[in-house]
Amino acid sequence: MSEAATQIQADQELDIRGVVCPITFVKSKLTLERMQSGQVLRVLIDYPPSALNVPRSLEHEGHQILGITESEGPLWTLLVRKA
Amino acid sequence: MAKKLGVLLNTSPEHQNTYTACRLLRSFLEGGHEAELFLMNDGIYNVLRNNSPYRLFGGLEELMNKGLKVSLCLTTGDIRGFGEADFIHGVECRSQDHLADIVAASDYFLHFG
Repeated sequence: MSEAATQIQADQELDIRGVVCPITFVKSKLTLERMQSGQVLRVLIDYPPSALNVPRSLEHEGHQILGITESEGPLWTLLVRKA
Repeated sequence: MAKKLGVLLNTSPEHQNTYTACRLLRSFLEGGHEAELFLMNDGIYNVLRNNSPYRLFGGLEELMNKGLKVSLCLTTGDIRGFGEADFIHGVECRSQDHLADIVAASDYFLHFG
């Protein structure tokens, strides 16, 4: 994730640690559906396949992936801007 | 009136779930209905190119000839070391957003996990 992306303030956070595919994508999709266009969602993921799947699928749906970072845990933090 | 059945299959070729799902899909297709199958996790082994004489189950190709649409989760393929070239002709490599589209377009949706 670029330094600029890390400065972005998320409008909402979704913690899907402990959840696996396809529910990780479903929860992300449903959360974005309740948000306004242009708002930013931060998603916390700890299931490795979802760290690949969720951004890929959200991008296919037209949303903008601002970045994803991996930290200890492992934990992935995904920032996505709603289309 | 024709209906559409969507199925998510997560199990390998020798699993009872796979056998049940394929028989159900066959019945649905032979009844004049539409069916679409999405494969995830070990479910992707059902569409690997496989020339083994001990191949346990080869029914999906036949069902595809009857009109079954088959797609799979590309990420679960990546994790197992398989890419598009490893799967039988006609299988689409997609992602979870396609599964969501199948659910939305189906009259009935079943998960065999």
